[in-house]
Amino acid sequence: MRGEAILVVDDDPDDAHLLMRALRKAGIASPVPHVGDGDAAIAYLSGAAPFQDREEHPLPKLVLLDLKLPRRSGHEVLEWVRAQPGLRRLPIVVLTSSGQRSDIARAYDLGANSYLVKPATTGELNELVRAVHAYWIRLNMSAQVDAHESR
Amino acid sequence: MTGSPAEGPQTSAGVGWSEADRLSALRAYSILDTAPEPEFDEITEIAALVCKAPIALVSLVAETRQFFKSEVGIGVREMPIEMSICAHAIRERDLFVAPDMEKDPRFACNPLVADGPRLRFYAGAPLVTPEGLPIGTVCVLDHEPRPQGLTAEQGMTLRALARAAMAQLERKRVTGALAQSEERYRLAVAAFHGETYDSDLESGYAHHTPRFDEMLGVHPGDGEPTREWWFTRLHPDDAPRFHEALRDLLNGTAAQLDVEFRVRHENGGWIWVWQRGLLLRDAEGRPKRIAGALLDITERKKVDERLRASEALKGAILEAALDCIITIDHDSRIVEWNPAAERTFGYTRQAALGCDLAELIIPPELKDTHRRGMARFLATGEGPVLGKRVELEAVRADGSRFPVELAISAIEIGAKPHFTAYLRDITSRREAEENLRESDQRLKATYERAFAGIAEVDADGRYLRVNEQFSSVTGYSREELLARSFADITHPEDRERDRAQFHRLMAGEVEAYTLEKRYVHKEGHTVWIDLAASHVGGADGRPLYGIRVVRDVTDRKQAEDELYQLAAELERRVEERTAQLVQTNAELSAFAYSISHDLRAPIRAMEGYAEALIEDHGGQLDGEARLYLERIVAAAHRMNRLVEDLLAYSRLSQGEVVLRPVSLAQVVAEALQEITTEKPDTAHIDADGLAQIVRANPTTLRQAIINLVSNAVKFVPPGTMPHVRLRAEERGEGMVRLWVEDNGIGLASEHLERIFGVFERLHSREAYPGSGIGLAIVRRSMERMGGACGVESELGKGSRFWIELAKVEDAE
Repeated sequence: MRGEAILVVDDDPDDAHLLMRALRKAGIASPVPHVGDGDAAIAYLSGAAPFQDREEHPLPKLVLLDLKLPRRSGHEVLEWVRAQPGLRRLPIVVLTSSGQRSDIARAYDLGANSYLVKPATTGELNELVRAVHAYWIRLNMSAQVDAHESR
Repeated sequence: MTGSPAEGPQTSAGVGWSEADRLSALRAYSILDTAPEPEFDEITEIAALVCKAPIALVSLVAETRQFFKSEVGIGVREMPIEMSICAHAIRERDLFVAPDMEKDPRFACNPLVADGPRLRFYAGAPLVTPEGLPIGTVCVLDHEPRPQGLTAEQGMTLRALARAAMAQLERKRVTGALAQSEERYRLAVAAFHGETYDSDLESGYAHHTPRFDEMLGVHPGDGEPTREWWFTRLHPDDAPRFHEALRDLLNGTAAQLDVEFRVRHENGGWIWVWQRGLLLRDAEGRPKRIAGALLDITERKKVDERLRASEALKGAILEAALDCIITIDHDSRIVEWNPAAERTFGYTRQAALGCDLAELIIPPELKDTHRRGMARFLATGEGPVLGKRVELEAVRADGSRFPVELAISAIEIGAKPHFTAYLRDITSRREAEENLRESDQRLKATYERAFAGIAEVDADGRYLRVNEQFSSVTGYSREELLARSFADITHPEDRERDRAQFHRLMAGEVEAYTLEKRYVHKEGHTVWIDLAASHVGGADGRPLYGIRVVRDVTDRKQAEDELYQLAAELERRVEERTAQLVQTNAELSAFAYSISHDLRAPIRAMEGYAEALIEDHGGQLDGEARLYLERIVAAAHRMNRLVEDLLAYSRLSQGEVVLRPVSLAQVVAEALQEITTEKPDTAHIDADGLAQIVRANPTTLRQAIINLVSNAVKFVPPGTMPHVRLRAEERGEGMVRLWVEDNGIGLASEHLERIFGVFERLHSREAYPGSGIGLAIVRRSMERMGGACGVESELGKGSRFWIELAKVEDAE
């Protein structure tokens, strides 16, 4: 059972790298696939090429979604996910550098489960990663998610 | 009507007298309708007694009735002639007897016989005047017929009684005539206010009648009948004249006495008498008696006196009159010329009297008219100018001409008419009129040539009078305007406004009003005018008509419009600029967002990798390498902080800061919580007595307090434990001040203002770290919340920062 994957959607490779390092440092064994733009995120979640293989690219238990993405924004990804019958209950935590009130409000309007601002320091990032894992992977009960439910 | 004497009056041929004479004779006795008298009652009583008749009468037969001077047994004093039996009896020269009238065709139908008293027997003796005219009868009547008639004795008695009655009548007639004659005489003398006298010169006895005494107010008989007594009553002033006249009479100088004088009345006053008398001489030619008449002429004297007074008054009026009063006779000769005429024309009265008016004062061209007018009046009695006021010119003695006003009246003095002219010099009035006309013209000229349009309107707003300018403003001719009301030419949108005001004006509710309104020019375009409306009141003060003065302000209005458009344009540009600014702000906002996102990402990477290097590979690095890495991390932290502060500051400048009542104690507690969580036990902080509620945004206020307290904790000399005290102070005008007092390094007075600016730093980053934005955020926060901030400090003696916000009363 490798169903505890955390999908990281972030166009900044440094942020993504340091985030995955922090996860690793926190002793989290879950697979952490990473995509760099909105289209890729949608392709990954819908199992489209090149992510058809669910063994290789498992459906995540949680998505950490940046908002400022090339091609398709995080908000659009959110909107798309919530429109998919098989995916709409998928927990999505926005993790972005924007603390803009408008971004926050729009994210929640579109169905984000949580909204976190990227910490400035490594120490803070470590703390955040531990808390997210503890809550969303270990404590939170998620609904059944199946990308092909309606197909 | 058998038995009526109607056939009688004119058909009296057989009796020897005419009815007219008979009636005339009857009237002479004046007996009809007189009261009963014993002399006649005795006669009827005797007749009834002797003839043994129930009814006896002294009956007088008049034209339409018979009158009973005396009656026994019949109870009335007259009867209609139609019922008269006597009317038949008087046609007999002697006794008339009708033994049974019922059987007598002449009387059978008489009402006295046929009905009512049912009389049967009549016997009457006629009353015959000395001239032989029968005027009535003495008669007896009975209800029973007497076939034998009267006895001879009775017949004789009846005849005798008729004669006795006639004698009585005759006697009364003569006495009556005498009394009448005396009465006439008495009345004549009374009307004459005079009395006769007869004075015997020898004895001195003077006979006066009682009237004479009465005239003097003396009790009848009290006046002494002597000449001497008469002389004593003469007025002292008049006595010589009387005696002179008397002397003249006696010595024959005067044919008769004729003198007017005053005699004393018993009441103490004087009466005027006019005495006339003739001297009677005896056979020897010696004066014997003076007889004549005295007439009381007091009344006439009074009238004379009044006439004299009236004349004097007239004279005074003529003297004093301001108008010339000139009277001419029928021949145009001047007979009266008063002082005013003297002054006006320059001729003395002396010179004027007797002159022909036409030659004296009438201008040559009017002389003929004057003469014709006079002639016409004398011929026909018509005078068109009489009684009327006429204005014409007259000529003075010096030949100058001047305007006069005159009225002429005709008066009859004697047989020929006179004319009186009341004439007045009206030169000054003419001048006044001329002045008035001139001023009127001036006014009219002003009215016509005024720059303002002027119109008069009636109570319904219809034009009564307009000046040229008004026509030119509206484009309508005078005639066109007079057929319109102001509402007709007023712009529809302004019509009601003006009408309402106008009605109030004409109702007397307001004295005047002004209005900026529009007319529609005859050519269709709009004319803006300034209207000043007022009204003219009648004698009773009620508005009669309206005055409307208008000024064309179209040009001004256009200028105003242009100004307005300019202002609108300006407004529009400002809006445009504002929109641009808003956009710029939005761009700035986006820019700040970019900074927050893009700028912070490399900082995070820098810091993250440096940390990772230290953590993951720290063992392979020497001390210096590790120090450099730590400095990279520190620099990244500072930069992050700087960006955050800048963002916070820029966020404060944009968007809305929502204010609500906030508990000062709670916000301070939250702020202190945050600070002490970050750096516990590094400072001693007191806060108490913060009971106030202020109007603020809690997040913004909390941040400001954090900044201030952080500063207070930070800026202490090295090795000193910071002591910070927060307290609230209520200021005037509903403000609350929160003090943040420290024991820090303090500020030099020259820096007190600077420190609230952005990026203002007083100390090196090494000594006191910070972005230099903290206090700028405090100041901007206070500004956005309608508050203020400041600092009191002295170098080395700590600082006392304060912020001030509006206090919210508990009620809110």
